[in-house]
Amino acid sequence: MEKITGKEQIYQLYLETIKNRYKYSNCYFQPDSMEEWLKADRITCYSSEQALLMLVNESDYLKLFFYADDFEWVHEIEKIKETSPDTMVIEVVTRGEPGDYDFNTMIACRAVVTYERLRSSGIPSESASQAYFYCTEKNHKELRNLMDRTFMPIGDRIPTDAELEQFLVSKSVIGIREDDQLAGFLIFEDMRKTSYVRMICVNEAFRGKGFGNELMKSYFSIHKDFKSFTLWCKADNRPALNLYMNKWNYKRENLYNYIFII
Amino acid sequence: MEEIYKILKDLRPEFDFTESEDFVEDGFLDSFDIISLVSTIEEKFNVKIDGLDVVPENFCSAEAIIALIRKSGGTI
Repeated sequence: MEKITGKEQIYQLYLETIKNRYKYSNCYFQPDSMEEWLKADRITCYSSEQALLMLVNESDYLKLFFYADDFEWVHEIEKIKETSPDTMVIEVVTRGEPGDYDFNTMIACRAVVTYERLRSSGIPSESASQAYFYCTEKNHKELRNLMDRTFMPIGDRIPTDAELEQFLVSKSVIGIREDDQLAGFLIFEDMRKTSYVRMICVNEAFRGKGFGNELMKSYFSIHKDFKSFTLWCKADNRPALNLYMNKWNYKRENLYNYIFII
Repeated sequence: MEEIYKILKDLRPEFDFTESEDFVEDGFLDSFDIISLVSTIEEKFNVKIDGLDVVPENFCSAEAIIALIRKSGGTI
C-alpha cells in the first residue's frame, strides 16, 4: 500500500472513497471528524486500489479505519507496523456475529472485548430517587480517578478532560455520595427524545450495596419525558446485562461492537 | 410518504415518526440506523445511494428521504 502524504491529498482521496461506497467499512464518522483529525495532524493514510486505511492517533494507540472491497489489506498491516509500531485498534459494529469482519480468521488478531447495545423504550415503574446530585467541576478529579481505575482506555470510551468538563457544564453527570466519598456516577448524553448512558460506575468500595440501581433510578427520574434509552454493555458481563434487561426493561438490539487489537 | 413511514416504523417501532420534525436531532435515528436504512432503501427502491449522500441531513425527515431516493434515480 502507498502512504499518502499531504492533507489536501488525503482529504480528496477520502471524499472520493466515501463517494464510491466500498463494500466493507468501519467508518461511522462524518467528514467533519476527518477535517478535525487532519487539522490536528492526527491522521496517516495508506491507499491501494482496493482499500483506504486511516490511522488516527489516540493518546495510547492508533485507531484503524478502513474502506475496502476485500480484506487483502490486512496482510499489509505488518509492513505498516514497521513504520508505525504503536498498538493498532480496529473497532467494528455489526448486527450479530462479526462475520466478514472476523479478523481472527485473517490474521492473528482477536476481539479483546465485545460490547452489545441495549435499548429500552419506556420508563420503568421504579424510577423515583432523590439520592443523586449533579456533579460539577469540583468533582472532576474524583470522577477522573474513579473512571481511570475502572475502565479500559481501549473500547470503554473514557471521556477526555475536555469532554468531561462539557458533561459537567451540561449537567450530564449524576453522582451519589456515601461516607463523604463518591460512591458512583453516571454520565448520559441526550438527544431530545433519546438518552444514552455513556458510562455508569460504582466505586469498588461500595459495590453490592445497590448504588448502581440508585443511579439508574435517578437517571430515569430525570428523563421522564424521553422515549428511548440506549447503552452499550460488555457482552460477557452477564450480571449487568441481566440487570439492565430484567430490572430496567432494556432489550437486546443484536448490535455488537467488536474491538480488535493488532 | 406512507411507504417511508412504514420502513421507519419497522426500524424503530417505539417512535411515532410523524410527530418528529427532525429524526436525527430527535434521536429517533442514529448512525447505525442510517446505515440499516440505506441498505433497506437500496433494496426496496433498487437504487445505489452515493456515499457522499449518507449524511444525517438526508435522513432527517420523510421528505428528505424521498428526495434522496429520487436523487439516486428511484421512483417514489
